[in-house]
Amino acid sequence: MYLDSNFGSMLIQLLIASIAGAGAYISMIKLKLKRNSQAENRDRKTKGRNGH
Amino acid sequence: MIVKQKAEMDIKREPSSFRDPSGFVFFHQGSIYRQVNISYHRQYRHLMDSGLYRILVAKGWLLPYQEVDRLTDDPDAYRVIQPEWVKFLTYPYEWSFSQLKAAALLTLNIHKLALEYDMILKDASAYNIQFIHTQPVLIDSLSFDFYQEGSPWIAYGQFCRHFLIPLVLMSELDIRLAQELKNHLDGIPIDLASHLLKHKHSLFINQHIHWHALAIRKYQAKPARPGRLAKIHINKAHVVAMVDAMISAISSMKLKIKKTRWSDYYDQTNYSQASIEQKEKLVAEYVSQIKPKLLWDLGANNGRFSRIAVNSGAGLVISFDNDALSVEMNYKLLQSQPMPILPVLMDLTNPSPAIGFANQERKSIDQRNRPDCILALAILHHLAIANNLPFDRIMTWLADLTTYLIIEFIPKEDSQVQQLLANREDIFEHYHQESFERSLTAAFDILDSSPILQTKRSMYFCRKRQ
Repeated sequence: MYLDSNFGSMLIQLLIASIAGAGAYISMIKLKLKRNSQAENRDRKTKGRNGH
Repeated sequence: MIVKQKAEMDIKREPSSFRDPSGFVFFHQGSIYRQVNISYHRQYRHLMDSGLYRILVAKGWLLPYQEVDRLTDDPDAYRVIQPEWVKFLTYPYEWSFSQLKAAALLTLNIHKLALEYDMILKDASAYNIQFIHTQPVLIDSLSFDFYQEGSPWIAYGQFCRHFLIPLVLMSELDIRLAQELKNHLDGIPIDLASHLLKHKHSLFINQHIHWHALAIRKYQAKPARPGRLAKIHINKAHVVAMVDAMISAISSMKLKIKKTRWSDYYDQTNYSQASIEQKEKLVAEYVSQIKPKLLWDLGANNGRFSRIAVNSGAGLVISFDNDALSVEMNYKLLQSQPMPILPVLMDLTNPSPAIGFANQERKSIDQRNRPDCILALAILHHLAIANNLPFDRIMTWLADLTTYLIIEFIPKEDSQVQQLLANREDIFEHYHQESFERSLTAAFDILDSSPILQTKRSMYFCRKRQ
């Protein structure tokens, strides 16, 4: 057991975790947009088949 | 059941177990135990009662243990647990790239799972991981602590030094650089890594190594202000995202080196099909006669004969080789076809020493579990000719380690020995079969010997002299 109390190590995590958090958020938004667009395409195709 | 006390004091404390105030490891009547101290009882209860222990063990991530009666009258003791026995200890400087990578990913995955249970890994030492065959497992059950909302991962720096940096150095620069772990007990320093990697600037390397080194340097020089750590607040989702990003980056790391002198050894040997088949048959026959619990295969290369030993009844085989890529190949083969074989990177002419405080924290190779049988195939000429080791010294060393020995003698006329002698003066006038047998029989009784078909090589099956 070696506890690391270096402040620099802690501070750099703040930056890295923020970048990673932002990345994860952007990925989630992209995924949502993709799903929405897929759902819209499906709706359009369904409407087309029904003759509307 | 748990509170019963015994006056017996014949316990022997594990010399390397002294840093953590939460408890320590000790031995009693041939079994291993860990004392959990009262100071750690809240964390221990949460680990056990929250379901985290159960799921970690079910996944094979944490070495299982059971609570037993207290064995001492130590007033600090809260519980005594008896973990499963790890049959052979290895250390990160003895692992291949993929072994270190598997251990790193296990550490991150355990930390991530612990976060779901409002706990963290309070330390991320590579020495807390051991391999049960090909599977890495966390052996330190006292490594968990409570997660405190907003706090950074206290073991992040240690994770970088023990895992991330050696992996990046092996992947980006040279597979041999992980050996630096032997010189730096608490992992390779971040500033040293930043210096070595000064021409490498991916976002991952910049974040975890270069910027990390800069941040450490900047704040090392400044006097510590009380409470400044409390000002750092990291959202838990961001901590998880950081761990996920590290898992993703480490998972995709690859070795650039594809070939070494030894990595395609079996494609370049001078054996005919008949001679290799006979050699395999002899090894199988000898091993099946003794069915050793623990066998060391010295110079195992990709573990071809280690597999034969297991198939012939060896309980566990430790496959030693000094070529990092051969150990890597062996480990990867075992990942696809698991067997009780543990590949270990080791230079037999300079084996792992005892290191750490008082030279007692990490054991030398001969302080670990000794084998019942040693397999020394096509290695004698490397020890005797490439490294100038006299037969007598080699045999004394082997007899000190094992009861049974299966050894191959390769004479000077053999093309492999001729290659070793090609660029040097032949000063090995004693390198011949008669002299070898003289040294061998001084330490061992020969139970069987056999020439290998279509070669001038011979195999010997021996037992240590009483």
